[in-house]
Amino acid sequence: MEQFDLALIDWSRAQFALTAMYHWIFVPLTLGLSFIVAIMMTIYVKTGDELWKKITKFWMTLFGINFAIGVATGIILEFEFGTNWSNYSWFVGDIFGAPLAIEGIMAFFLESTFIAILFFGWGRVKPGFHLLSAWLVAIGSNLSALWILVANAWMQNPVGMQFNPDTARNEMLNFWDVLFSPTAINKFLHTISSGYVLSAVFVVGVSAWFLIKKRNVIFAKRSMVIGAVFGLLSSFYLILTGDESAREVFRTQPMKFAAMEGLYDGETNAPLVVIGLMKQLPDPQNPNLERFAFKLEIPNLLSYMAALNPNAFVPGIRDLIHGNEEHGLMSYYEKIEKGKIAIQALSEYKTALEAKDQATADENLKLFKANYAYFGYGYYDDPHSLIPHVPLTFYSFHLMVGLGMHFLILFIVILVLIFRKKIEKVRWVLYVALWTIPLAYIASQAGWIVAELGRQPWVVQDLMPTLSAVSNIDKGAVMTTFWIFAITFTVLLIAEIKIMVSQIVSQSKNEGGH
Amino acid sequence: MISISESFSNFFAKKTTALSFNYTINHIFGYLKFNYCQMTIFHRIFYFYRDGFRRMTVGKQLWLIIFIKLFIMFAILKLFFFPNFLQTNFSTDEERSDYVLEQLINKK
Repeated sequence: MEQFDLALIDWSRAQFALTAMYHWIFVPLTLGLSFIVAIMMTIYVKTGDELWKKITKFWMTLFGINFAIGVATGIILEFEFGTNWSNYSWFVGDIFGAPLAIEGIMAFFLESTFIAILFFGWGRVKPGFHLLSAWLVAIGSNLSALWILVANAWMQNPVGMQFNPDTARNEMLNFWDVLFSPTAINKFLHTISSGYVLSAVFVVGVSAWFLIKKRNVIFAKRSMVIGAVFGLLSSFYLILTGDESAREVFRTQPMKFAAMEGLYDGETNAPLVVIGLMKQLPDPQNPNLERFAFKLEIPNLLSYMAALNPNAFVPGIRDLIHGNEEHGLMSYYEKIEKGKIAIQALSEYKTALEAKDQATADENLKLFKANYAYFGYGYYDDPHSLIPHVPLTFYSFHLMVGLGMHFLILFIVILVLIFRKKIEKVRWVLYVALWTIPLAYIASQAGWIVAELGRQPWVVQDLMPTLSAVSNIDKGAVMTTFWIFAITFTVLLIAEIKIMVSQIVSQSKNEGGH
Repeated sequence: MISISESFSNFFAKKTTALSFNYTINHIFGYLKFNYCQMTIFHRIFYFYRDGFRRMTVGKQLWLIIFIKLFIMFAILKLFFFPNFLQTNFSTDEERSDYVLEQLINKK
């Protein structure tokens, strides 16, 4: 048996997490700001008001800066697939390749073509076509996100495929099952709506800074109205899609769901922990240990949110490990056994084929297929290795939800104050709006931590853990590139912030906006 | 009819000289409001982009960043640090399949 290098896996994971999280700093603002710019341009085209043109151009510039700095940062993830995660790349086959190829074509034709018309087209193309370009840039950016999220959703809930034991690849059986899986739809809608909220917070926050400085007041107020209305509507949508996403996680990734709630022992009429402070890491060997130093709960709500039934049973970590016959839960111990049978059957299938023993090969193939759903479990002996980092998942989830509520309230307060014509007088709200910008990024990153860390150790849910996905390469090379990425991305981020701040300051000093 | 070079001059002088109108091209691609209508659509697109790039202010700085970034990614990272593991080490898909199967069966 080959011994896997834990340090190699950890460095490979750290590198992927680093690049994905840096990439995700740029993406959500592109997703939402593109629509906000399109809305602003629509108002300009409809009204002919020069101030709206100025507003559109300003936010378009910030959109352009973010787009330019962020563009192609995702390509690094594809490099990593081929180098660090070659087993995974091969295993997922065309299921990952097809959506990524479509994404590339979409990004190229829609975004690249129409972005040029959007930026270069002022006074050079007809206003209607210019406006159409703005909307197509927004739609194109969001469609690009669709395909990568479909690929990601397949990893969380692999459907529409069949594993070919001769090629070691998963082959797509039904593209539409992959595209329209509930996991993919929920992931896409929740992710893009989170980008919309982040962008709205960004617009409201920057506008608040203008008002704090008492510069370009009308310009700032108009921007703020668009940002806050867009943000409010997106927030409601975010809550709806988040609710549905959580139910989907409950159905397909119950361990992640239990970790998100810090639920160790399953129960009917499960309460929802609104705020909680974990005392220590949950210890599966010590079930009687109280895990929360403090918690505020709402009775029955978790059961209701998970299954739309306040009496529903929500399995905890221990139920998943040890199984629960009453509620029809197979234990991880049993899944590990089935996984080992699948791996052994695959091995014997291969040996039988080499020996040209078709009967034995067929027998093992049948056994393999019957147990393939648990294939990944076979790499483990201890089921406790299949528990994600509970406190990090729990806190990330609660931070994301809490901040989401903060954004919703902020948008409402901002709109009320604007319509009562008091927004400039309540300066603390302006400061809160300004300082909410980094909080939106924290919430967005926390969402990814929940999604990706909460599903550990799986790369492909139940089928492929990180340890079998990683390439057998030199750990030193991974460490070197980790630091190259860390430095490169940090420089890019500093450049983005610097250029954006200089543009914002420059616009605020341009009094033509009054 | 005026020559292409004349139409360039007109364009850069920002004149609005009435030019003969190539109906077919403008019917299909009529959104571009350039004066140099006798040029092919490819010329128009070329000059649309060229002039767009020339007029950029903050965009020039951004393009510089994009080029540096792409250079680091493709000329350094991809070339020296990110070879495709299976493509580099194996020459056929069969060998790659066998290797991955071996990894799936024996990795522990």
